[in-house]
Parts: sequence; structure tokens; C-alpha cells
Amino acid sequence: MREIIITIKKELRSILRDKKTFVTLLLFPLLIPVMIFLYAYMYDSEMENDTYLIGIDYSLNQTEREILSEVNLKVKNYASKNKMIKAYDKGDIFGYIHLKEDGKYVIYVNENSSDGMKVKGYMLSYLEGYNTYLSKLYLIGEDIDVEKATKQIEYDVVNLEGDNFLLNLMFTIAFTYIVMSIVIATTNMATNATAVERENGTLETILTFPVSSKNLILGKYIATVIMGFLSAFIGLVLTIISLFVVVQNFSFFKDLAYKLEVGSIFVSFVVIFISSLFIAGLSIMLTIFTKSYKEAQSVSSVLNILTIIPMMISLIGISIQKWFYLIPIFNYTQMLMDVFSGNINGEAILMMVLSSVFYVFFILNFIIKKYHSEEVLFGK
Amino acid sequence: MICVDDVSKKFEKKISKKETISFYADRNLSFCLKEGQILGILGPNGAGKTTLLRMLSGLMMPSEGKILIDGMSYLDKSREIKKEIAFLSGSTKLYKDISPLELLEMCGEYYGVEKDELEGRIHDIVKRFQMEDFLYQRIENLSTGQYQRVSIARCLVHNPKYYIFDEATSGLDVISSQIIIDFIKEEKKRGKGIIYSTHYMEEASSICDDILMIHHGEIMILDKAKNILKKTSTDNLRDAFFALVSMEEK
Repeated sequence: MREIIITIKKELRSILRDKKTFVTLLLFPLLIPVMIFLYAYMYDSEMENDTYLIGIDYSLNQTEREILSEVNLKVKNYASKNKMIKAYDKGDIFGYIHLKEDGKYVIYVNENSSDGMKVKGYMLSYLEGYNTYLSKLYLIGEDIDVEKATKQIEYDVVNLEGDNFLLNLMFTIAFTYIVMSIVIATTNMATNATAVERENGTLETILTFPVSSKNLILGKYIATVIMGFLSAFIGLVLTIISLFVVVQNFSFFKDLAYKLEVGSIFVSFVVIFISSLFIAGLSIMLTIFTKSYKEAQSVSSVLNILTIIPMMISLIGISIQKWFYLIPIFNYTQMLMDVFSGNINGEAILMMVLSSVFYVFFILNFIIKKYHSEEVLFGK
Repeated sequence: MICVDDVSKKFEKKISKKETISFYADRNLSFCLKEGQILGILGPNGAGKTTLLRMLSGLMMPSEGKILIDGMSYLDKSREIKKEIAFLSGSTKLYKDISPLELLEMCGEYYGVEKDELEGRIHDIVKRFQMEDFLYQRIENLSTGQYQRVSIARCLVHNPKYYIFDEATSGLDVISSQIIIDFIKEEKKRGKGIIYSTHYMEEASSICDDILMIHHGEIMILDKAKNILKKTSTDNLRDAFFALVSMEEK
């Protein structure tokens, strides 16, 4: 145990004194709130800008103005259709409605653009709304029961529980970055503790000391876990704060139903601890047999790619099966998403914890068995 | 006592995708080192000196034969043996991001030296090697001579019985080399056993009790320097080495 503790102290001291690496490790989690705020701002501003200016060549009454304000359209009056065409060509308006002499409204809009499709929808809503209003007036004039005439069928809309795209998107970004911060911290730490130590010649020195390979590896592994957890801890705290700030300050996200309770926070810390255990083991395994910093970095870049896969799966919308929770790295991102969506599932947590512990045990055993000073230092 | 008994070390080298050749870096080496003795291992580059010393320090295992240190083998008493040995070579580097004091403390902790004892030892070592001026500086900022003093100092922390030096003065200036040579002489007086590998033959003849000359991984001769000169009818070890090589070829 003494040898393990000395090795942990040695490795942590080494990384803490390497200012460049240490700052990099701390800077990455800081990207998480930046990304969250960036996305929040993007969606919020898109909503604010979601009002389109169109041209009309007739005058509006009060009812039409009210309908238009409800369908995200602003109007500008033009003297003729030709002037509207010119304004459209200049890009002043997204489309226009021309009232023909026979009283027929004609919508002019570019349906091939996303804005054009939206504007067309809004224009139709406006005209249909106005048409309904006029129809009701007509029915009243004819002394017909409006309620009876207009409500031949009854319907209602019920919001079904399911994936919330926005929530998913925010969580996917945040939690992918948290897992990525663990990968970056652990691969850096592991590279420093293995390949760099070998490259610098200090590994040869330490292997002449009376320390067993097992204790040396465990010391390096635990130091790597600590760095991974520290980085993820900072990332998680910043994520929780950022989500809270976003919900409070960005109107687009005010209805975001995420669970910020003691239980979910506790489980999330368990998840980042377990993921640090696994990813640190994998980082050590990938780097311990490499000969140089360059080789270690290139080998461990595979881990960075793996962290993006859960984000892809989430964005594609593949339905999550129970056995997915046995897949390391994927299960950590998914579990964090579940926890903060209020879907804490004991069975899934157990599957994640037990499978990770099994993988870590297997990885460490493999490294300890394969680690022979002679081969590591001088090759076969 | 360090006893090397019929030790050989075989390596495999890949010469193409399918073909691997094996060769001996050391073959059938046998000798012993007593406490208070300095044994010089001499030979040209590639003779097998470094491989031998790596086996003696536990970094490599012999392919054949056995190495016993105070009757113990690395196969089952690695930790106990390493506590009695200090290995210093050109490739055993120091941690650059810590101070000499932190390094000595770390080494002492690894060797299991008790805290109070360690403090006393560090105090003596610092005084002996005049390290007071740079004790708290980062090792990366030290001069070559200061670095060399720290390298030796870290070998002393656990008060080993045996020292193994592999080309320890190689590439060093006169002053830095002298630090190591003076240290070796002092430790011999304290009754320590020292194995000293070098390709500087004159340096070896001045400090070593016995000389072991290796060529192509095999022992050419093991004797006192003056006896080697007598046997080869030469007046320096360099000429003696070439004489032995030509005798062997004949």
C-alpha cells in the first residue's frame, strides 16, 4: 500500500507541476458551459427572430392585424404588386399576398427555402383564420348556430411523454463533453505516467527500486482515476449550474423538464466515478506498452472517437435497449442523460456499475500480467 | 556477495516479417564480487556490458544460468535484493520537475527508510555532496555537475551494500567524472561492493581491484590489472585488450 501511495503522490505531483498539461485538463470542462450557453443562445435567438416580414397590397382591418400577430407575421403595405415584387427581389420581404380585383388572395412565396416554407404556413394560417372569422360572421348573419355549424367533430391534443428533442440535445452535448473530459484527462495522465516516463528515462530508474510492477501500475492507475474524476467533477458541476442558468434565463428553455434533485446529483457523481475507473484503466492499457509520447497520443486518440458515438446514437434517435447499459462509455453518457431526465432505473445503474467493475478488473489483471520491466523498457 | 553463475542472455531480432534471428548478448558468464571489492567490467560498445549490468540490477532476467546476491535470486526475492543494490547508468534519469530534496525523500520512501532515519541520511548526503545551494531547485535547472551529484546522492539514500555503475562517467567532463570516481573510492573504503562498467580503460585500471574484459558477450579474462598486463606483455589495458582479441582470433 505504501508503494501505491508514493506512486500516486509522484504522478499527481508531476502532472500538477506541468502547468501546460494541468491547465489543458482544467480548461476542457470549462468548454461545457460555453457550449451549453452557445446552443441556448442560438435556439433562443432563433425563436425571437422567428417573425417574418411580408408584403401586402391591401389594407388590413383590426381582426386581420390580430390574426397576423398570432402567426409570427409582420406586414408592410405596398401600393402595387410590382412594388412587392421589387421588395422581394431586394430581400426586404420573405413573400407577399396580392389581393386580386375579383377578391381572391394569392400567396407568393419561395417554397424551396426553409424560411419560405414557414412563411407559407404562417400566411395560410392567417388567411384560414380570417376565413373562419368571416364564415362565423356569415353564419351569425344567417341566424345559424355557429357552435353547431363549426364544431362537427371534437378533438383535443394530449402531449405524450417521450423524447424531448431539445432536452436530449442539451444533455447529449453536455454529457458527451463530460465523458470526453474524462478521456482527455486520463489519456494525458496515463501518457505522462507511462510513455513519457519511459521516454524520459525515469522508468528505468524506478524499476530498479524495490517496488513491484503491480503496485507501480496500481499507483499510476489510481492517479489517473483521480485526474479523470477531478476533470469530470468540474465538468458536471459546471453543467448543472449551466442548465440551471439556461432554464432561468432563456425563454425557449423555460419548460425544459430536467431533474435537479439530490438523488440525481448523487447518482451522477457515482456515474462519473465509475466512468473514471473504466476510462482510466483503458487509458493505462493503451499507453503503458507504447514507446513514446507521440505513439501514446496516437493510440489514445481512439478513445476520443469512441466518446462521440453515444452522441451520434442519441441524435439519430435509436431506441435504447437494456443491454446498451453494458457497453462502456456509451452507458455513462446515456446514464447521465437518464438521471437528469428523471429516468433513474436501478437495474440499468446496476448493469453499468457491475459491467464496469468487471471490465476494470479484467483490464488491470491483463496489464499486470503483461507488464514485465524487461519488455516494457527494452522490447522483446 | 554477488555471484554470477554461467549466465547467458539471448535476444530475438526480427529481420523481416517472417524471419527472426536469435543471438546471445552475453554467454556463459561466471564471476563473483565480494563486499569491499571494485570489479571493473571492460569491453567495447556492444560487448554485452550493459546487458550484464541490467541483469545484475534486476531490469532483465538471464535466459540461462543464475545470479545470486547474498544467496538470493531475483526470481523470488526481487524486492529484498533491490534494497541492497543501487544502479546508476547513463539511461537511469532523474525526475526533472522535482527538487533534489523531494527526489531523495521519494527514493527513501520507496526503499522503505523510516522517516527519522531518512531525514538524518538526507542531511548527511547533502553535506557530503555539498548540495545545500541547489537542494530546493528543480532538477531541470541544475548544471551537469549538480545533476550528477544528485544522481549519486539518490543511490546512497537506502545505504546499499552494492553499487552497479554502467558507463556512469560516459560523456561527462573531467570534474563531473571525478565526482563519481571519488565517490566509488570512498564507498570501497566503507566496505561496499562495486561493479563498474566503462570503456575508459585507464580510468578502470586506476580504481578497480579486478578487471573483467568482455568481448562478443564472452569473458576474455578476469584478473587483477597488473596480472592482465603481465599475461599480455603490454603496459596498458587498451593494448592488453587488443592483444587478448588477437590471441582469441588465433
